[in-house]
Amino acid sequence: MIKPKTYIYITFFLLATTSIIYSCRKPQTLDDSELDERMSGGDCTVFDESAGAFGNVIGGLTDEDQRVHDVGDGFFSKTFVPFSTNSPAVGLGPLFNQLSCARCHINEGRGTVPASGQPLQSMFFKLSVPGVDAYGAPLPVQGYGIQLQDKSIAGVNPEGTMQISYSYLSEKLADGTDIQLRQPIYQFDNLYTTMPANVLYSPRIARPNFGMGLIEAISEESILRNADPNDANGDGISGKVNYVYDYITRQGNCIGRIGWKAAVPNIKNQVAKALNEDIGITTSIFPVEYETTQQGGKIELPDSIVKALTFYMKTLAVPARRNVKDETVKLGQKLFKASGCVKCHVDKHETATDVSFKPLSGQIIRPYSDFLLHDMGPAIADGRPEFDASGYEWRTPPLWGIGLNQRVNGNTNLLHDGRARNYIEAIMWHGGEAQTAKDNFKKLTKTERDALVKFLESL
Amino acid sequence: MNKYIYIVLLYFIIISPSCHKKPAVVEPDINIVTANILNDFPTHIAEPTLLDLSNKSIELYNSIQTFVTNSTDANLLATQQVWYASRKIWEQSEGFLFGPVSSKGLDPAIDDWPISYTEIDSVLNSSNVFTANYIQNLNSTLKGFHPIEYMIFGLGGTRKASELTTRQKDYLLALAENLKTITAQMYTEWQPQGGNYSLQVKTAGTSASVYKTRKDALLEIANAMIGIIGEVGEAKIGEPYTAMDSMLEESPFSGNSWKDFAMNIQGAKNVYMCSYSGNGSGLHALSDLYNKSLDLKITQKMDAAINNLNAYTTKFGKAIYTQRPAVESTVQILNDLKKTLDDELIPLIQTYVKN
Repeated sequence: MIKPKTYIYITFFLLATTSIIYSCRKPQTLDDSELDERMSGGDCTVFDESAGAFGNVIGGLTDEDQRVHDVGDGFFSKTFVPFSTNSPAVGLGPLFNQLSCARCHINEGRGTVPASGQPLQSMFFKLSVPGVDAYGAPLPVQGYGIQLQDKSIAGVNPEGTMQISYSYLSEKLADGTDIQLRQPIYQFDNLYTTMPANVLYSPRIARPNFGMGLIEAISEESILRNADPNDANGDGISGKVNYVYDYITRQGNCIGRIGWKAAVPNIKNQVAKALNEDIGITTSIFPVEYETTQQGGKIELPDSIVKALTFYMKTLAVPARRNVKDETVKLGQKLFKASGCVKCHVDKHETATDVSFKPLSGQIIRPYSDFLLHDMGPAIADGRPEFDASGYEWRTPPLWGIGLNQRVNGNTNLLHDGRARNYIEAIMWHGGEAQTAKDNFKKLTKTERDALVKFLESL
Repeated sequence: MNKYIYIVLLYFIIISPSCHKKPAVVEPDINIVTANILNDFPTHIAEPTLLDLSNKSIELYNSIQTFVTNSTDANLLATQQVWYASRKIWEQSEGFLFGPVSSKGLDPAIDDWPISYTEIDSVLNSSNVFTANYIQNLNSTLKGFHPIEYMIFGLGGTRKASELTTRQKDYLLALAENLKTITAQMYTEWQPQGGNYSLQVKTAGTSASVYKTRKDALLEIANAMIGIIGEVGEAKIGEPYTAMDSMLEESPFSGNSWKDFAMNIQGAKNVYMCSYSGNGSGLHALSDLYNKSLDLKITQKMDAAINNLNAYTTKFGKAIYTQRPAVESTVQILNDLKKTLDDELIPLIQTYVKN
């Protein structure tokens, strides 16, 4: 006869072993912290590793919002033509750098450096002469404006071209590994008129478009939290806001967030500037083209389309990280932090609460940027100030999605002029405030360097 | 005490198989299936399609050369027929617009739209010599299939041989030569002597490839296929239909738009079935393996879309005004096909292909 108490023990024992046994059948899942690591854009993250990874819409849009996004998407890809052609996208040029947004932002991603002797396709050169205009912006060059437009409609001469060649130098890592770097050499060519001797120019590769809505939505406090313009904490890294002019609200002292030098405060300014300067399209925001005879004498693209293009860019989702559980990736992430890279490539931000547009509101995002200006040293200085950014300063570029560049754009060229052909070359070009981080990287073993690169590839 | 031991042992005997026992069904070797798909895509789809396109472009150039030398209506008609044939291949190749055609910006130089009439006039009125280099540097709205279409079919598709001036014929020939060059480059980009993109696809999942995993490459192929289906429904048909504007039609001069669209979907089907130059293993093999009803649904919907597009007898530019319910139905069919692929095929790949 079994005692009742014994039944209780047996029952308890069997229940305990059952729970242990059944636990072995549970599916493997990521714990919360690892899941967060993958969600680079918070709820605005998309799990897409294909060549179209940068062109996905965020979730949570209403039908009407989706429709506006789609209209913007259509115009982003649309080829602009001159007047007298029946198309919704008219007013091209007469001077321009490309025929559509999508030609520079290939697959909504980065542009490319042209092969030797080939024309610029997704890269252009900003121009100015020393001094600032009434808004604090660079002074345009007489006869050329603010940008070298190397293409034109038929019957009009382009402003000129830029030839790019390279010299090579090497840098040794602590273990003796030799890293070959290419230094670009620029030469104006086929200029239609004299270029002033004091011209300042700055090469710019087209940047990816995704995640811009989130960048715009980061609260000013979140950006200012990382600013340390006088290096009060003495870590050798300042971090400075570029206070710029908003051509829509007609106000100065706005925090610049967009572009290689953070010279643009928000997406709508960026869209209007790019339409005007890159494609030669006038809008109500920029109703006049530099140094050209206005075609048609009217605003070429209505506000509704500018709004749709802006909304399209605002609502492009961020691709999720990959391989976050990989031990090598985890090691690389630790080394990225230990080397000091995260001091500028700040991993985490929170977007502001915005009850008027919830999809971007209150998101924890991981752009790996502080969106501040840093002196990056003379090696990659362009010598062309832009608002508060000096000729040595660049905005920390966000690194999210960087691991998909090869897939999306067919190359891994990095930095504002695409001189770096891979991650390690890009790190080797760091100087100025980033010198210590670069030196720390140089001391890593090959295994550690490979791990750090693998981490970058996971972004 | 022994009773307790028996009870515990009996319990373990009952439950232990449920913990570790594998399903009785034989697991298919997914690695072999995915390797076959990635090996066959370049061999049976990308390379033969692009080789055909290159050869058709040579044929088009030769035909235009004949027409320029002997400008008869018969030779113009022959050129128009070769243009249709070239177009048939090009539109199928749009079923896989990824890799060099995308990253090297080759697509716009072949198929940009709309053409720029005023600029074409300006080019023709200039004294510029139509060298290969000159055409190469022209804006993409002034070269490729559609300016050639405009020249050989004319507005309304009523072109007569005698209407073309010597200058126009020189331009036409130079455009055909440029198209020949670019389509040859597209093919070479997949060849070992060129960019060898075939190797990138075939070696997906190894360090030799841009695709870190086979899943990446399969998703690339699937998304490109879905992309063209979406473009046909939403943009190529959807935009002119919504705007009720026939001037937004892509191939208005030749009246070839419905066939263009059908060939786009045929191109997507080629990719899915891996069937163009012979048969290979396509994405179809994956869905056939794991979800036969999905495979059947996809093939039926693709066939239905192609049949629907081919059934139109009224030109697209007219149908968007006179057959609006039918055109709307076509858009729905295409959107529905896209949704099936987006919502069911992509998750299937993501679920079953692990690396």
